[in-house]
Amino acid sequence: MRVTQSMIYDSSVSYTNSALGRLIHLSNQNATQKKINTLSDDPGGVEVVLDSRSFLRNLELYDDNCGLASDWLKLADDILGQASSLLNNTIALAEQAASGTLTDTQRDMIAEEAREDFEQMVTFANTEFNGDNIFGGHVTDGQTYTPGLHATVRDTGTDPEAVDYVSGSAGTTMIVQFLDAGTVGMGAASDLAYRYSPDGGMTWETGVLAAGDTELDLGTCRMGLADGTAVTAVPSPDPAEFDREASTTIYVRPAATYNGDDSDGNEIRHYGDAPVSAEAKGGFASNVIVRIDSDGDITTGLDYSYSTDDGATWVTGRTSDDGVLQVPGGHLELTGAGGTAVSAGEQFVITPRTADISLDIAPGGGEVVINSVGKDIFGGLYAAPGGTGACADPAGADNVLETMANLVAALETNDQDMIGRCLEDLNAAHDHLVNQAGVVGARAARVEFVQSALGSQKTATEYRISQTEDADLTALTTEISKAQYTYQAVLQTSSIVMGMSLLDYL
Amino acid sequence: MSANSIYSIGYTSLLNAQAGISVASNNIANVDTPGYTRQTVTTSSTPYITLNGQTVGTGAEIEEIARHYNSFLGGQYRTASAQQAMWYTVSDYLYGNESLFNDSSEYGLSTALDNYLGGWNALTQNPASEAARSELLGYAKTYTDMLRQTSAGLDEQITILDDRISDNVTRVNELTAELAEINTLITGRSDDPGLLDSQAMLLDELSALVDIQTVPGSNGQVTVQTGEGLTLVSSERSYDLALLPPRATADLTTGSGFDGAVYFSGTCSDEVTVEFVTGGNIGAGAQFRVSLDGGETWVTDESGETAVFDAGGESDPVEVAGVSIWFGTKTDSAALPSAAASEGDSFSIVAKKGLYWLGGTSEPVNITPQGSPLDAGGGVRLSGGALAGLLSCRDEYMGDYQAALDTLAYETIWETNYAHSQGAGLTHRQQAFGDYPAADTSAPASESGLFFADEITSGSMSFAIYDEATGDPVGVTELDFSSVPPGIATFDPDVHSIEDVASVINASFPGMMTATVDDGRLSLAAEDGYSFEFAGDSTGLLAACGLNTFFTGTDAGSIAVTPGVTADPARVNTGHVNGAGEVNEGDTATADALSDLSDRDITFQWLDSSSTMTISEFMHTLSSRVGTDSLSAQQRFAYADTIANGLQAQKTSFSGVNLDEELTSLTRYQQNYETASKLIQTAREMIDTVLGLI
Repeated sequence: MRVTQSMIYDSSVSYTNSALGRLIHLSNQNATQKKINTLSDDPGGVEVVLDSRSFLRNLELYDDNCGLASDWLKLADDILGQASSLLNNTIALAEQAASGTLTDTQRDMIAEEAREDFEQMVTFANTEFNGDNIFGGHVTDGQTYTPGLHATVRDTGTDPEAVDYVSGSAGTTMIVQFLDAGTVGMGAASDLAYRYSPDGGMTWETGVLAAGDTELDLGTCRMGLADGTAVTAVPSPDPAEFDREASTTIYVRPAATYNGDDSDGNEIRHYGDAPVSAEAKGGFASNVIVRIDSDGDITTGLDYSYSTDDGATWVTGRTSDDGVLQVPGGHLELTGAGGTAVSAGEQFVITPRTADISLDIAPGGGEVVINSVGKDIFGGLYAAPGGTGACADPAGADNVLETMANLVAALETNDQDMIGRCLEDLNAAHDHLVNQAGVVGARAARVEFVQSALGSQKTATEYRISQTEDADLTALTTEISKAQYTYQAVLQTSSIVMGMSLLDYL
Repeated sequence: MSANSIYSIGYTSLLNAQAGISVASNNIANVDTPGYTRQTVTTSSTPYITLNGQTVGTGAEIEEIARHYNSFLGGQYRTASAQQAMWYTVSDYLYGNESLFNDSSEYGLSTALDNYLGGWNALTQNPASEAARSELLGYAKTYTDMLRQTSAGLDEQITILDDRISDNVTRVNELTAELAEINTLITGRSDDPGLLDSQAMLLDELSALVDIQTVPGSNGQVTVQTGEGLTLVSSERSYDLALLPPRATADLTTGSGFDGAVYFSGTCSDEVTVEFVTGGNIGAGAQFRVSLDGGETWVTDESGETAVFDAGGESDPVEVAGVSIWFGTKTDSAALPSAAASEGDSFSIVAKKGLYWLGGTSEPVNITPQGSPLDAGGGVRLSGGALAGLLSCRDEYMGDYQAALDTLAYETIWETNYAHSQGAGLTHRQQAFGDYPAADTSAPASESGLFFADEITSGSMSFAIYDEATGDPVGVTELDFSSVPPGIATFDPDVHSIEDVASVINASFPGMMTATVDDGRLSLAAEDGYSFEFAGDSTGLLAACGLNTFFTGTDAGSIAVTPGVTADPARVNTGHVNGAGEVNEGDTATADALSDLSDRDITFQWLDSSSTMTISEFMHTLSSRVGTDSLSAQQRFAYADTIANGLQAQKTSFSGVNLDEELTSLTRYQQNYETASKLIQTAREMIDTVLGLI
């Protein structure tokens, strides 16, 4: 092959360029210690690295969430453990008091300690983490429980739900009895005289409830009775030791009102005009939209779809022939209210009263609830949304705060029978509390487990990223020496070839 | 044999040597002249004569000054050079483009997107926190800024490409004109080395711009065609290429009586082919399918089936890949054609500046490359040269990336806004202003011209009303559309208009809340003493109207955080109106839904295909695609470059100048010259000797 002048120079330039390019490329890898410095270095690897990095960032978020969840749950677990010990102490007090061989002073001291226990329990229930209530459901601001007063109807003859509210304050339990029999409120035939004692029945003050009125003035506090409550009068003559069973007797004692929210029940929003009423049963974590897909009849059959993400995506092709529509978390029950036909396009939105604060802690939708609904653990008084006034919720012995408050009332009024009953209730309440603590403890344990699993996933992902994008130092160093050698060789041969000319010899 | 004849032989050899020296010096002088072809002198013996019965030579004369040019190699080189130039252009632009999408520094678009979604997660931890809200807004702003910047970066690239395309078209037309000029000059001078060299050089330059093939004529003229057979130069005529604005052409089946024309608005980097699959009148049964790659594959719907669209008039256009398509008569875009379209009638819409060949026929011929240059070919579309590379870069690469970014922005905006519009912020609302305008507020929502109109579905929405002073819930009320015609209870996007929605809201909340439609936008305001909250919307209408939304804008170039949210971080929705009608501070329903976007699969409609993946995965796929495109262009360039350089080497090896060789020739001719003069001297001496005898 003929070699021409321009070939000599052109090829020298192109060989030098490519050798230098290779050297620069490797030196760039050496500087960053990465194999992938620009997308075209390894497009497949780029996708792996980017996907892995996103996954890693997600893992870090999950890890972060786990940390926070763990803090909340450990605090709750710790508080519930202390609450359980506190309740044990109250039970011990009740047992002592029930033995009946106590001096007045001893009984006063026990009563005082029981009252302090009650107040401490309210403090526990008001626990905050970083300014957020942990037992208030979604109501993380404000005070979860407000201490106050409520009353227990002691005798069996009077309606146990007779007391609507008590306002004001009272340092000790107040006993209220009526001197006149009759009906409270609008149905009253005449004024009702009553008496009240702040010291367990040793001394009494009197007052008169005007006909038509429902609120009793008890000195430092006021008690509202339900309109139409029938009351009976203290027997005549008045026995020396006042009788708690014979006539209407009410103890005004401490109480705590729950201000948080609950996860009981749900609301149905009906988009459409089908003459049916809807009711949802079950536990729903979020809104569920049910859509009727074809004109149908709730008694014979209809097609429907549902969405758990506010309509962004739908699960279609569901059918029902009895008006019961199965959806995640429960079912929607349609019953005729003037008709049974439903038309396509009608929608029913199940809107639960949500209270759970849940955090994503693992890939693929792993969630943990970090807060609790206080009233489901501690009880107390609760005014449900749309309800009238606050009442004990839950009713019965599981209501820890109400049970403790009743013990305070029994001790302060030296009511042996009631102390005995309270003792039984307290044991049940303790079981309830321990169960609830178990739920929280199990969640805390799960978070710890997930967190350690996240750690290993993180290591595996970091390893994968490193394998894909990090340069192999030994191989790289060798490659660089090779490229350097090539470059030098190219320079040397080029200079030799370019330096030669026939002129030198002519 | 006389001394005179020796004189004569000496004289011609002297001339021969002079010619040799002159050619060698010309070669040496032109060693670096581009396109120069080496010449050599060939001599041949002059006729022998018979003298005294003996045959005697009479010397030598110059037969030709040969030009060492191999036209076969020249043609091969030009074909290779067209590929080399195309791939050089493509790989060069794509390599530069990589930095726009490069995330290896961990400060790229992917990271910004992850951070934005992570911001919602932080709010699930601490929904009431002002700091977490500001952080989220910061991340959202970074993400939208980067999307806009990347989009602007691509726009900039496209502008540069357009400029270069235009320059190159001008240059191609200049070159073909010059070639035609040479064809004129060369007639009768078919061995003029200067003209031939110029011709070869012009062809080489042209081949780097457009792939060409040449047919040399016996008279020195050359006929030039594109690689696909369209004539650029023939005899003394050249045919121009031109860039023409967006246009559409029809290709009717034989026997079709269709008398209408296709109309369009909008732009698309791909050519849109419309083909009727069901014949019929426009707006009354005629249906068509659409291809973005010249009919290779057809646009699919979300289920993966070929999408079929109802052909309509100007008031009812079909939106595909950013282009609205409708049919009208040949003279009036708003009138419906009277004759029916036949199955198989097809139309080609070039909704961009395209490259056309203006030769011969009355209609310009579209030669814009179509599809990836990796599998280019077919028809008359250009498949080589820098011009094809530039057009491919603009349409196939940058255009696709821009479309992908727009898809990314679209899904980010819609998915975020849909979830956000379901939720509630920290404070109840006194008013809310719609962000997206509808062109026609009295038309059904699906035809209102709202940008997201296609996303609106049937269903309804609820509003929660609160006492302004206490914040206590007054109640949650569902909208009932029975009060507006045609009296159906739920909202139907094909029936109810934006104005209907406003009047239903006004009828549902008398004295508490009013809705107004102003300038195409739906706005709400609470009456004195009340405040309100959005309590769920299964229609997507709120998100489409931009009420209670997080992002504003419609594509990668316009996405931004809604000013209302930026101004008041309390408007970042984390909670929602729950079953008790309350919005609680610790509620994370909406923040949860948005945080879940990080691992929720979404269907992306990108150009003619749909794929289901998370937003991050889509972004990563795009990055990987940018890298793959660049890498394969680099590889194709390396391949084309090797071939072209090899041919170039062969060509120069044949036609180029070697100085050592020329020095040798020079020395040889110099010696020839000396010897020839010696011959003359000898002849003179011979004559002198004879004359001395006298």
